[in-house]
Amino acid sequence: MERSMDRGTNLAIENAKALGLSTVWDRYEAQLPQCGFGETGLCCRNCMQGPCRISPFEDGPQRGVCGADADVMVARGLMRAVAAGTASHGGHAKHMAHTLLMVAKGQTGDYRITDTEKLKAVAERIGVEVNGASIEDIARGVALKALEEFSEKDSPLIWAGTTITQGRIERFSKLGVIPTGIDSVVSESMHRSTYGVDADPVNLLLGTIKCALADYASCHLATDLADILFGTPSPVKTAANLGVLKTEAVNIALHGHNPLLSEMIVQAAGSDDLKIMAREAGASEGINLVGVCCTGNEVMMRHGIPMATSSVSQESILLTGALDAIVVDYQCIMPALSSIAECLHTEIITTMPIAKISGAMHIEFDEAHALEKAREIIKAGIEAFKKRDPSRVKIPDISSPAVVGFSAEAIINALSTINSEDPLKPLIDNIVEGNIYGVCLFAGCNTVKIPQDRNYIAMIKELAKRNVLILATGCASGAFARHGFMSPEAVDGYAGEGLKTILKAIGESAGLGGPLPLVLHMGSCVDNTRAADVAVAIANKLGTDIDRLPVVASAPEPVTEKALAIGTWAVAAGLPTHVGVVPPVTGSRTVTEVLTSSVKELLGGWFIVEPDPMKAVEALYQALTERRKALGLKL
Amino acid sequence: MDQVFVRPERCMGCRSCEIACAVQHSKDKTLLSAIMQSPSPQKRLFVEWADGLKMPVLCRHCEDAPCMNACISGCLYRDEKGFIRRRKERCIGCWSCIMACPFGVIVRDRHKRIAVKCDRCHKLDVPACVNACPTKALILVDVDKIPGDRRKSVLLSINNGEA
Amino acid sequence: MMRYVIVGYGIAGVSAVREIKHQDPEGRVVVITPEPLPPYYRPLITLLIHSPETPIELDEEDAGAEFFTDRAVALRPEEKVVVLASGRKVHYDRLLIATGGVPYIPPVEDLPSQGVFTIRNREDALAIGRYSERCKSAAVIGGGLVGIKTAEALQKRGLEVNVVETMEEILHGRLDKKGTGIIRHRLEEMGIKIYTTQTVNRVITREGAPRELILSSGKRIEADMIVIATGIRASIEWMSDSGIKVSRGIVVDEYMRTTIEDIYAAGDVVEFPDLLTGSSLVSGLWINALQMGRVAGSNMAGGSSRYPGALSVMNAAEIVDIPFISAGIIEPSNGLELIERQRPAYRRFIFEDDVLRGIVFLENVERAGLYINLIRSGRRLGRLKEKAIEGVLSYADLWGQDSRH
Ligand SMILES: Cc1cc2nc3c(=O)[nH]c(=O)nc-3n(C[C@H](O)[C@H](O)[C@H](O)COP(=O)(O)OP(=O)(O)OC[C@H]3O[C@@H](n4cnc5c(N)ncnc54)[C@H](O)[C@@H]3O)c2cc1C
Ligand code: SF4
Repeated sequence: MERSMDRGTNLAIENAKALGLSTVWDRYEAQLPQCGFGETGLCCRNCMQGPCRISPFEDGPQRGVCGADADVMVARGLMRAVAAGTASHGGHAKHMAHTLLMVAKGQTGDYRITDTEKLKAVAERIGVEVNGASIEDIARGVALKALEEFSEKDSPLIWAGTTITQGRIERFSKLGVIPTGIDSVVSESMHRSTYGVDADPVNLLLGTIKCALADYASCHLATDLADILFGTPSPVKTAANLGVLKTEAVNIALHGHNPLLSEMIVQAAGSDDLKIMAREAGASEGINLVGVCCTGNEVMMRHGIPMATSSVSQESILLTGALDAIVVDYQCIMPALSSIAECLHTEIITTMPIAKISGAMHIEFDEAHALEKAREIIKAGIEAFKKRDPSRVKIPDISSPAVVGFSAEAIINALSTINSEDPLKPLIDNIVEGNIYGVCLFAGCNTVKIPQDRNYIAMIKELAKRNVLILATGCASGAFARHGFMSPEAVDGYAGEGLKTILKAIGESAGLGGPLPLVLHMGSCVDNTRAADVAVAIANKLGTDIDRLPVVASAPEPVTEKALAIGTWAVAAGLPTHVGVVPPVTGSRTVTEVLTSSVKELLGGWFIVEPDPMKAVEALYQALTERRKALGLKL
Repeated sequence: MDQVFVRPERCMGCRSCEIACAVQHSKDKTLLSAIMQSPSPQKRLFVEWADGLKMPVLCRHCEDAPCMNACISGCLYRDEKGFIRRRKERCIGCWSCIMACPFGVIVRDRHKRIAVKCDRCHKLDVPACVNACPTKALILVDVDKIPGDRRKSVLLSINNGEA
Repeated sequence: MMRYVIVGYGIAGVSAVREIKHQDPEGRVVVITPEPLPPYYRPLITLLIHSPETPIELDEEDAGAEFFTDRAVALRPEEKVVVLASGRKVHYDRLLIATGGVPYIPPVEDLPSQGVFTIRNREDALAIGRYSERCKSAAVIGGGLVGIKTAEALQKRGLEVNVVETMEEILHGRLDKKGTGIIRHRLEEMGIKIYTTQTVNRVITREGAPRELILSSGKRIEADMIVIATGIRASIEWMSDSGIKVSRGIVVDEYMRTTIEDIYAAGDVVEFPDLLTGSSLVSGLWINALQMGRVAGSNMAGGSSRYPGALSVMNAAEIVDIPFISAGIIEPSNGLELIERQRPAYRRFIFEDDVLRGIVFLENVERAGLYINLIRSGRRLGRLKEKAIEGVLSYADLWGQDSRH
């Protein structure tokens, strides 16, 4: 099977072959065929009377030892996956909150409040007193409120309750799915899905939605605090693909998720003594930072650090032979990195006490001495550079220009250059008129199960042609950026007439000297909430709810449990949500039916499961059309 | 004679059959001891995939067995039950059987110079793989019990997963 | 009652007798064999050089035949008789010629009468083993499979072994250059000396036994004994004035019939067209002889089975711990594509577009039979070509085609 549509990745795979190293694709092939019980969610290991498997055929066992049937087994499994995704985003957000509190208390000199406007805006929204308070006090108030979100409270999560429409809140209340604590709902999910607790598939699914809403709150919290600490992104030019590595520089990749670490490294890399040290080591171009995965998105949108590659192809940066160090925090980091590094000179540097990899160098990160740690990490990169074997360096000469960093604020800013009184109006008018037929948010990963980027490329070409405005986050943005879709130049090539006109008009009036890029980059995976913010703003302005807007979401190549959590809250938010890989639920008719159909009655959103990109486009387009029709918009 | 039939459309690709096979060909024949055994026991059937298909590929104990015809040392023989088996001590590791088997189910022992193949668990009534399969993708059919005139259609319907 | 006469009781003869007895239990079967019974696995004889006790017998249940321990010296089709060395004439209704091959001996100057061997029969191997006890060194002339197996066996007996080969490489025609190179390297590491593109010019003897060989390059090598393994020729001299059409071997059709009625031939003694190239070939392969013998036997007993044909290159062996299997066309010529993989082990594929024409697998020989089946069937692989090259092709990929019938 074709492995990737990305030439850079394919060249790296060739290198791997030549070096006799295996990549994620080889390991996938070695796994084939994968177990159908796992694929369909019909395998349960939640107790030691198991493992149990339920036969999808009538003449096999239809219940596990405890009596759980396929519906219960699948629903419990899904709940646990969403809980794991929520735990990940929750961990990320909590890490930010602790750091913000340290800043407020003056316990770290390396971080500071960068965006005081955002701090105040968030404080006001969540009910922290702003008037007359010092920045530190406000920050302390926000941090403490944020930390309170994690344990069980007697009120709904603020970061959920204050960021969505009233209509959503009413629906959620009616269904009893409003979470009151992030960690507590993760814990509750583990509890109710364990041996002998919740055995009602529909109740389990509601619990899963509740958990996913906690995931939403975590993501929103993480985004807010990142903006407060490091600044709210605004458009910046950069480039993407393996060609951003430099032969003559110490190349250090920033991989993982949380900007707390990467921001410090960016800062440290700017210091003169380290630059000189790199030159003295023989790197005439000094230090070159590149991003991977969500960390890559965070530093790309705030500093224009180029994006080397996405998650699934993370091994490929090492395989260029030109990467000296890769610094990681947590999530989406393949343990395989260390076995590839064994054969090359690259230093894998883990930094988090909860995420070590055997064979890697560990430099434990410490927020109180963040910059010092960052310098230590860069020095390790310079040391590794000295061991680089120039004969092995094969950097594909491939990179695409990109304009990134469209936070909700940045989009509103750009729109306000057209109408400063009512910035949303031009957007809404164009949607009404049909210049913008609808909006599609692309999110999620790349997977070995689909040739890398195939679905992204096929879908964006078709949707853009049909005047659908494209937003992207996470590895979806990586995919679009690597293939040049995140550049203003792509507009002429792919956008339909209406879309072209509006992207040009906004770009020019916002002083970008050209159209907005074909895809608006909104950030990392937690930043999906930025897109939600825009949708909420539009809904509120129109006095309607999200589930009536011509807005859809797609994760055409998803991998992680986090993606399942995000997908679930997107559905809960009221979005028709496409997933391009069949999740492990098909073993249960009930669960499959609820998620792809009857959930629509309850929440307005639903899952579209479709591996074929063109069929997915049709389904999404039809959903947009239905909504336009219902709103009486031009078709 | 009992024959093992494969119904690919039922195969989940769980590899239970592979594990059961390796365990059955281990010293103590329990999963735990098989896992601890060194060198580890070898399976003799292989769960494979093609587009839209998963299936175990295993020895068919062919009527006119190419492996047995190709064997130049008198190692492979047909036993009284009709199974193609090895006289291990006579194998010289010339790999003629691997060259001859069109299914690709004869392999080399990982540690000794000797060919390894399915022995149809000749000491068991039901082979370990058939016993292990949770979806009956592998089933045992007594071909002799199917009347000759109906044999073909019955076997076909088994193949189509209808039986 | 039909009277069947079988000349030669190698595997072709053995399987013919089995088949005749199976189809015509009443028929009278007469076997003429110069070798003592029971018949044996000829490919194993090199093992006897170092371990004479190795069991190599074919398990032949009571064959139900009459045996004449004798040699056929003439064939008179007009009288329907075979003449034996003892002078005896044996009448047949149906005759099978399964006399296999005889070693070819190249002209070498001063070849002594003692200490020089060929290797085709059990007795040859046992004699080599016995004689080697008094030797320190040996020369094997001919670097084919039999020569190399003999060299390995002599080395196991503790002799210094030299192999002399006229071609550029040992195992010529069995493997491609890279493959033979790898095996040669390993043989040399083990201490076997190999001289290629060289012939033996002269043998220096002492007391009627070999002492030294002088090669065409002028190189002198010590050798207390010589084994000649320069290939076989069909064993057909004895019937050369019978009128049966022969060229390199006895010409047969797919029913294993010779050009004269009621006379069949099978095994190493016949020639037939290669499945892929159509060029004539003399098999030299156990499984082919077995299958031909069976087809011949069946047809002699009134059946009508056909021999599907064979590939002229088809080998499986393990030499100095390197397993290999090769089949079909192993050197690319015009219009053929060569694809090689070095990992996880050396594999070479010859394709004509998406049709597999040949393979060489070294070390990792697993599933070779599946590939050889593709070579034989000439099936277009389409998208499966990639899977085939990457080594993940399996029978599952062919299942759809297979279950249709
Ligand atoms: C050392 C060695 C290793 C080999 N290794 C392999 C291997 O690894 N794989 C493989 O496939 N093949 C191998 N072969 C080849 C294989 O043994 C032959 O292809 C096979 O034995 C051919 O069988 P046959 O019955 O046609 O002829 P043979 O086995 O040669 O039998 C012919 C018989 O006829 C007898 N005979 C000859 N002339 C007369 C006559 N005039 N009257 C009566 N009887 C006569 C001979 O004495 C002999 O017993 C090997 C051969 C040798 C010698
Ligand atoms: S046990 Fe049955 S379902 Fe599982 S892989 Fe084997 S044949 Fe397929």
